[in-house]
Amino acid sequence: MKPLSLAALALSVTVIASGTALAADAQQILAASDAVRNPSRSFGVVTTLVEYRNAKQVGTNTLGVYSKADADSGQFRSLIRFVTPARDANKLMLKNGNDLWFFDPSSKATIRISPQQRLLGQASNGDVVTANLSHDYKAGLEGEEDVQDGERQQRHTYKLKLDAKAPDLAYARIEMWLDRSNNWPVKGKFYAQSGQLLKTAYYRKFQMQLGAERPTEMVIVDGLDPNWVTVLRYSDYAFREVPDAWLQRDYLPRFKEE
Amino acid sequence: MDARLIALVIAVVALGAAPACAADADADALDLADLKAPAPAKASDWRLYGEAARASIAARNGGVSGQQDRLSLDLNYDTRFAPGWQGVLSDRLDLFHMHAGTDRQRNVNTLRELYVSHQASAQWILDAGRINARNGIGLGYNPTDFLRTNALRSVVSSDPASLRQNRMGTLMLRNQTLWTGGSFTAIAAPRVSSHRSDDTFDVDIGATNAHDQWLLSASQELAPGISPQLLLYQQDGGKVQLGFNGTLLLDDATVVYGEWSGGRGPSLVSALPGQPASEQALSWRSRYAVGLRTSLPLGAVWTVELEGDNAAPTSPQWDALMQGPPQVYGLYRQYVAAQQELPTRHALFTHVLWEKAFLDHLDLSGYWRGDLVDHSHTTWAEARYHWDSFDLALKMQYNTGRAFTDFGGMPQRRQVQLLAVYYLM
Repeated sequence: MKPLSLAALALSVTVIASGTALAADAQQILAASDAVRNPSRSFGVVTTLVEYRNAKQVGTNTLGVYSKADADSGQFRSLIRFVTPARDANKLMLKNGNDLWFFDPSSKATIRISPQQRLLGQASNGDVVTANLSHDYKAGLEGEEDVQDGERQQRHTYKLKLDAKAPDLAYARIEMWLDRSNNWPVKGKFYAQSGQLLKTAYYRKFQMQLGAERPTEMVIVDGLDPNWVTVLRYSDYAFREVPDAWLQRDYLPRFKEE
Repeated sequence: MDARLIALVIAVVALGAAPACAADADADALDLADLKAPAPAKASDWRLYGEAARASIAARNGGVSGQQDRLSLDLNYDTRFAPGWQGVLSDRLDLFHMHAGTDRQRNVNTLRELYVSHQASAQWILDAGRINARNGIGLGYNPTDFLRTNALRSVVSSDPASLRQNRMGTLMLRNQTLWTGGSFTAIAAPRVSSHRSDDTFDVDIGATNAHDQWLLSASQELAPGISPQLLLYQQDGGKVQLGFNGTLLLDDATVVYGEWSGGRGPSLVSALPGQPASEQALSWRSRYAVGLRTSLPLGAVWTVELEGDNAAPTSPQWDALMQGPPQVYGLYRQYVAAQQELPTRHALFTHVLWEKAFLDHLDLSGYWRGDLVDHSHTTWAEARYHWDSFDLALKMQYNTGRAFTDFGGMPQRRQVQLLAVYYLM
């Protein structure tokens, strides 16, 4: 083999190896950030969503979210109970990957809904806290950036580009900015397959919850209509045992929080 | 400055302004988040709301046109009164006042559910009392909902969602065993009485417990997202009826579903009250509902469902019924309505729900149901605006078809209703 070819080969191997190392690092950074948002055991949290249009408050929803990581996939399965408004009280949604069921206690009707239909409602914002991004997305490190966080402080961050591993995920691509010093999520931009920005999220008000400092507020700006803002506040964090047998359609009519 | 230059300047300004606008929007959003946060709401065991409605009715087929007022109170109470023990009460009172010809008043209380539940472990639950045990995944027709017969005591709307909501449960003992990805449910409902009562506060147990019934159902996740359900049902020692329902996620936006029940039994016509048992020719009868639900642009959700029942009359048999003695036709329509069955063999149902239509608090919904045998149809539409504890809705229904057809035979040609709902808790 000619020296030039050998050098080229060596260079290629080095480039590929360093690229692989960067990708591995990005995936590890993302996993560490997931751990900041997601407690390691099954847990419950109350999510209050306040919705604004053109700076005017137009709605408030309260959801009780019960989540448990799947032992095999690592992905979170969630039971989401609507607490307010009164017209929606006690309605339930079960999210197990793309297996989504909606239960209305008035009509006792349990219907299966599509991932897109879930995105129409506030539940899609309500359970975004338990997204296990490192499981569903392939991360790449795009560089380091100084950005303003949700509390208007400058943070030095890793900028990650996340590509969906499967075509049926709600977001085809995500950009995440993670604090370089502790992997806390700072900001995220969520995109559709078409490239359309669907939402921008700021993670803020980190507090000690269930053994780690976690964000207790998210501010979501709609990608299509920037005047549509949803503020999510997380409270009443608690470890809750959610038996696997309850995370199925047939248990929905019976579910009652402790 | 020529047009190309103007366009270039606009493009440059727009490119420069876009990030600035996004940054401004984000800053404004963070300002909103800094406003005082409301205290998190607590879940309540109670749910209570009142309804007031006025309907304008245009009649046909000798019916009486006029107005109908309604006041309703709807109560649900679901509490855990001791570790592992739960109590449920669900009741509704409807007060109807008809202003047509002579004024008429009709008051109906519906005790929907009253039962206790004991959960001995996470996997084993026993319930006893009047329970609304509903099966089926179809939107317009549920052939595997075996306990729906005679369950309607007060009909305030023909919307299938309302029919599912305002119905009586069956007195039963129910046991459910759960495991990861599956469950088994056994129901035993005894015969108590066949006496029906229209008295306002009668629990009308004769409607739901006129027969000995048992129902077994089991479901199991076979693969991620695939959990079919199988059912077995028997009434008064008759032929066992089978049931099946299942769903499949077709793509990111679309769910398909299917529901089927079958077994040996009489046709609907030969099962009419008063028919001698010797004339009830038993043969295999199948009922089905297959549908597709998909998300549309702008956020609407559209469902289309094909429904069938081969226990119902064929086209010539239906023609004969329509042209035969009015008493027999009337008896058949009453019987089919009570059974919540299709009057003819095939129907098409389509439904649209558009939440936040044009306005944040405006929901539009509607359905169209067509009888594919006699080509009559009905159209129902609702516009509902909601505030925190208050809804205002305008509903409309229009029935079309030749006299005595499925929808042409309805006593009402058109109904327009204004409804106010107040959520007390």
